[in-house]
Amino acid sequence: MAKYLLTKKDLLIWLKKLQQEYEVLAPVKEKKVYNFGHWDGKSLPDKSYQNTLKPPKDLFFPQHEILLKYKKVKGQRPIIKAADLPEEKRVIFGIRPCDAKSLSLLDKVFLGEEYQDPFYQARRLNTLIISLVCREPKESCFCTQPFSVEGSDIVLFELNDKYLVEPISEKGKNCFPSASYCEADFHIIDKIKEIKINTYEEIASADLTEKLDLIFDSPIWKELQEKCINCGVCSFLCPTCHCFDITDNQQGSKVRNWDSCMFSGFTKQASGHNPRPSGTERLRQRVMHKFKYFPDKYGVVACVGCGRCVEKCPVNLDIRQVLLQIKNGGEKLECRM
Amino acid sequence: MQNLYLPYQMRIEKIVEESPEKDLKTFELSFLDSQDAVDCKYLPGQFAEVSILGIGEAPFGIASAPCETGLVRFSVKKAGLFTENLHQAEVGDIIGLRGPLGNSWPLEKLKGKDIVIIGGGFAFTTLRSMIRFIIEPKNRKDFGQVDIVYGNRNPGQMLYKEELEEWLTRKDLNLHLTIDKPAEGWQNYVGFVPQITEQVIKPSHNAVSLVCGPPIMIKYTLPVLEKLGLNPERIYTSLEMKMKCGIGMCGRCNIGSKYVCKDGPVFSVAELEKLPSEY
Ligand SMILES: Cc1cc2nc3c(=O)[nH]c(=O)nc-3n(C[C@H](O)[C@H](O)[C@H](O)COP(=O)(O)OP(=O)(O)OC[C@H]3O[C@@H](n4cnc5c(N)ncnc54)[C@H](O)[C@@H]3O)c2cc1C
Ligand code: SF4
Ligand code: SF4
Ligand code: FES
Repeated sequence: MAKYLLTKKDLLIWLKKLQQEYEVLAPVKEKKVYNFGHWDGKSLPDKSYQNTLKPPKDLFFPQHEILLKYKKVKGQRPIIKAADLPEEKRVIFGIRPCDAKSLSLLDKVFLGEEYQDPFYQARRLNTLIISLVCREPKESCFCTQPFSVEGSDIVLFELNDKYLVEPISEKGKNCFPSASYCEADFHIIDKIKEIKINTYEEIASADLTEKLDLIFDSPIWKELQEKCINCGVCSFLCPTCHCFDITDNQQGSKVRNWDSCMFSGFTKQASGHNPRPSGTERLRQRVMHKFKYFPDKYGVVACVGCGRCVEKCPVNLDIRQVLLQIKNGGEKLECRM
Repeated sequence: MQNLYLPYQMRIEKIVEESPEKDLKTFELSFLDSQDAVDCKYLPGQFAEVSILGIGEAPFGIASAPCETGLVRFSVKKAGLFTENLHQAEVGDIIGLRGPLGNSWPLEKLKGKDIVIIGGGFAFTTLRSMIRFIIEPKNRKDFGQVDIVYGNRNPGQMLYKEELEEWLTRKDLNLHLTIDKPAEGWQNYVGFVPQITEQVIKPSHNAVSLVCGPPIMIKYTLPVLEKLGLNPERIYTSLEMKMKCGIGMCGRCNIGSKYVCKDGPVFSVAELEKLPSEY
């Protein structure tokens, strides 16, 4: 696909132009961490930007969301209305390719063949994804496809003081004035390959999925979860975790809130019976869901290797080590750092 | 349905107190908007999320049958917050219904077959829907012989008592009612469901069985059915898990890679044998 070479100035002009039509969100630094926020119209992420603390999922599937609003009227039928669909047109600029890919995984859940979540769908349709390839991975990252274009409408590569722009989707092509820029020649494209990205060994490969098939009842889960305090941080910060709860609040709304398979009440039935009564089953569920059940259902693992759970787990339960341990048949192995 | 989460508005037309313990009620609901009655097409074995504004939603198997047009029926046992609130509802109250959800009893695989239906306790709901579907005159010829075992702890707990009385007199099905211990005036079988099943069911080689009841009943009935010659591909059951969305998104109700809300709630025993025993 055609790639175009832009100077930093060109890029700013183009983004400013987009800003006339879209709300442009970019990584914004606040107290040492980046999160997506309103773009100031002038700054571009510098070398200190590796990734956002929070994954982009809450821009499409907010942590708290009103689904329905209702009003009870005495003696009459209640008025129930679906919440208005979000209409804001947005650009997400500077999202990392792993996180862009996570959106394509969430699409499988929320935009299925049979059911489509209308709120998620509206936000996906109204949002243009411009991803920015990493210069170098964080210690905790373990993606294997740093140049992945999945989930991106446009992909950007940083080349010293220039940017290489590659429109991917139709939507991306329509938003990029390619006629105004020159196509990059092969020499420059080759140069990208020189960007040092030391990808990790493929941790979540097919043989892992096969292995998981065999170890459902293994004592390894009990051993692995001994450290875990079931705080749920890993799932809240995971770009692909999508579990939620639906409740009625007292202000006349039905709301959806993020939930986690790490919490004890998640699967507790009214009879008191709980199919996943202890941390052991719950940790197993999280790992199995990502690396076995999701692949069974959708043909792809539900982990993009962003490393957020590795970094933020309060007890340093490292998913890479968990996976390596499973792959190597239970032996404890230090992860390559 | 316009928005996945928007319920149909339903009026409670009738409430039947099903047991002397007063913990089991059947609610008959009608659609406030007649178009909804047309849109809400369901099959026996499916369930729906029933909602009370300000309280919440909970999943219940649909106890009525599609041929009973314009109404939907649920039998609800008091279990917690939502069900207690529903039990306080009165005729004329308006509640919500989101559905139908899930798969159904495997109608295509049941066509032309003899049917063995085994039920226990208040889980008889969607089995009742299936039976009602089968005996509808225009459907009856699609199915072979129908044998039913329905058991309860005592006669009082039996759901749909009037209808069962009528079914006992019918020629086109064989209904075997049983209770755990003898009770005054009881003229049917006495004994646990698995025992009675073993006594009265003589399945033909093409029979298919549908089983629904408390876990303990299922556990002891399945080996009996297998002993009687029904292999796991020909035995179906309906599962219950904690549910919220009912549409395979909230991630709550899975057993291995199957979502009970969307891939189920009906599974063959052969399918279940392939899943992890985490339910
Ligand atoms: C597919 C399907 C079909 C079903 N069909 C039927 C049917 O036809 N009829 C029927 O009656 N039921 C049916 N059920 C079961 C029904 O959905 C549950 O009984 C219902 O959801 C209970 O909701 P509740 O709000 O009343 O109970 P909840 O309030 O959710 O739970 C009540 C129980 O949990 C305990 N509890 C509540 N909150 C807490 C807490 N914070 N901490 C610890 N414990 C707590 C309470 O002590 C109580 O025992 C079906 C379920 C499924 C999945
Ligand atoms: S963040 Fe760590 S401690 Fe918390 S639930 Fe996840 S694995 Fe367990
Ligand atoms: S499991 Fe961990 S590394 Fe994988 S996508 Fe989720 S947060 Fe990132
Ligand atoms: S109830 Fe939400 S996934 Fe099944």
